Amino acid sequence: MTVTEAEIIEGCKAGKRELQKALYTRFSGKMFAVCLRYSKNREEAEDLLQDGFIKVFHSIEKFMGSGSFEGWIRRIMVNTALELIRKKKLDFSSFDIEHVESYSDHITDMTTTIAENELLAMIQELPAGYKTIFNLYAIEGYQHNEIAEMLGISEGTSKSQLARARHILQEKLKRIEINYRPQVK
Amino acid sequence: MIEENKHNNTEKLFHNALANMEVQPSPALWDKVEARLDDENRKRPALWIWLVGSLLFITGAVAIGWYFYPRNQALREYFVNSGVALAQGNVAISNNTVNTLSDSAKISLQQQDDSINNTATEQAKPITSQTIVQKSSATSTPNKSSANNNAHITTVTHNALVVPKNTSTTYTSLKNTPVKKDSVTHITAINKTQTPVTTVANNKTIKPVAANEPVIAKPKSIATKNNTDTIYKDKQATLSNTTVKSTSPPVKALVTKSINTDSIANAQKVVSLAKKNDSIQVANKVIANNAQKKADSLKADSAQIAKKDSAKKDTVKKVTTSTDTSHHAALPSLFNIAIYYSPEIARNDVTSHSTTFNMQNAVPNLRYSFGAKFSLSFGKFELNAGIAYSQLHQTFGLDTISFSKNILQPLIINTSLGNLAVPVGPLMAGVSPAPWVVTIHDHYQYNETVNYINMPINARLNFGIGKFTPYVTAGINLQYAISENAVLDVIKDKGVDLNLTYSSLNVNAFNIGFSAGAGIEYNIVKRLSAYVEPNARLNTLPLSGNDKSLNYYFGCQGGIKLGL
Repeated sequence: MTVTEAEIIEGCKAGKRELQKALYTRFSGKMFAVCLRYSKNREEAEDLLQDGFIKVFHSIEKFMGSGSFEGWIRRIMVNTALELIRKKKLDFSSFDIEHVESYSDHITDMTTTIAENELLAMIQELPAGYKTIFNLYAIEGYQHNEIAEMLGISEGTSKSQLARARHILQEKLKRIEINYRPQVK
Repeated sequence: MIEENKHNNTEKLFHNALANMEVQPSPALWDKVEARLDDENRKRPALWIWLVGSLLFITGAVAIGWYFYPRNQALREYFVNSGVALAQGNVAISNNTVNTLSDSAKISLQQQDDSINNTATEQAKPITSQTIVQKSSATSTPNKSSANNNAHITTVTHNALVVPKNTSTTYTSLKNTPVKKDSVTHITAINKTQTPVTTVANNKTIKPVAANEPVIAKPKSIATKNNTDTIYKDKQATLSNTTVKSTSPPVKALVTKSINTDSIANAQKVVSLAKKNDSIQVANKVIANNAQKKADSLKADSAQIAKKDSAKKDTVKKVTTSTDTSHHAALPSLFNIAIYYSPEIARNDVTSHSTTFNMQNAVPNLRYSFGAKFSLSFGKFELNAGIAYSQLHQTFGLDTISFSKNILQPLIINTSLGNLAVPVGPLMAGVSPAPWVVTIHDHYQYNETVNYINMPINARLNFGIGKFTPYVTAGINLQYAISENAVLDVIKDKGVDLNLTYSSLNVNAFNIGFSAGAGIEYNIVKRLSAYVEPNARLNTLPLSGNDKSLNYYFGCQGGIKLGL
């Protein structure tokens, strides 16, 4: 029998373990992907996921039912990741946007050919500051002013870091594209 | 515009691919989450439970102190001087009719002479007239302060006329008065016109007192304690209604707050019974002889007493207690409160597996406590119970770490709180390209903190009461860890500084410790003193679940103590 989302929420509010597990089972895949994007490796992501779910179970009583439950959990996961970043005192020092190299222009041609996990690996390989801002801007959809507020940095810093991240990713995409080109015999 | 589209394309590529991506974590991860949930469910009771518990504890301590607090200054003084002298508290009893020692009738509280024959049986004791005997009903442990050892005053008033009807002789202040072992006191009413009287003491002696004869009070106690005409001393004497058991071995007559006609009548009955007892009369003779012998040797003392008596000719309406505390140290209060600070030091055992590092600036576990404790003071003996906040702190620094280039496992540092794992990522961050053996010159600064609530319960034995009071103490300490935290600050030589916080440190929340110490207390002013107390403590459990070492501390407690 499928448990509804409402039942899961109520059960978790009552502290029922089987429904806590149901919540975990339902959302752990998506949330682990979120955690992976903010982490360097699986171990770090699993630690984040653990912390995130503990927070979800602790604060589920505050969930009023307005809005998407999945979105609420995702925000908790992202906030947990940002909390760790803040604790690590990451250096978001400003990077002059004008120094960013010009981008290659053949990105769009290869979008469908790259596997998700490869894209994920590219993000994971980014330096922590770039990775965070790229995730927040490109994947989560936050604006620069929101990111600046969340991370305690200036909007300019957010923009410059995003530009740098984007540049690195494009370079990586270019290299992958070369590898993907069919061999000429 | 083209550039913007390119940007958007890149971001769109990643967004489309990753926004709804699903990756399954390892199956064991739920077990870890569940374990943490279980751990937190049975974790610490809420703070309010601690607050309520502490409040109840303090309230209980105050209530106990209040209940046992002696309302009588003489008693309090007795507590202080119980090991020094007996006759600090005096009771003067007189009456309009039964007044001074040199007048027609006297009530005297005589302390039993040391030479009293302790083996005399109750049966041999006569019950005679004109004698008010205060005796201890305690048998062999008279120094206990429990209610079971209440002493009684036995009153035998042969000549009822000497105690007029409605004469009020108040003993209120004597209730629960503690006495020293073997200190038996006689209260003897003497009428000049009567035949020689005999005083009966509990298990001790038969002491005749002849009419017109100077009262044979215990010279030693009188001479040394500056007592008035009446000396009172006995073990927790309880004075209550005059009921006399003349035939039973313990002659139990209880003196009430007022000696009324009923008590006199009872006493007369007792006397009449006593007179029928031939053995008593025989004993009287023997004792009379002994008393006569003693009388000579005690003449000087008696004269001294008489001198004092003359100074106290004035009629005293009721029993009074007098206390002279000027010649000894300030009287400690029965109930005290102390606040203290106690730094402690423990071992240091920071080690690491599989990685070499040079540890610098490491310090042992340091702990300090702030607390308040309440004490019940019984002179030499004190009982302390308190509540304290403690913080344990340890820190060390690492300046050089060497490990294999291909390190895959986190750097594990074993601390007394548990294993601290530094992930490979932060460890390697900024190190590129790496040689086969990596030596990092980053500075790792580690700080760990555990916060505790403690409930120390100690017994204390004082060696004398004075300006300086040395003592020894021992007891238990109940300890509860309310929070723990460990932070590793990595100040990197290259790359970004890191700050890693470890929250699951497996600290043993509950712990019971045994402590012992010796200290000295300095009496600053009345009711205010300061003390310093070096001590040692051994906890029954290690600091954390990962720690196998003995959990011991050496400390020094200093505090201010206030008598209430």
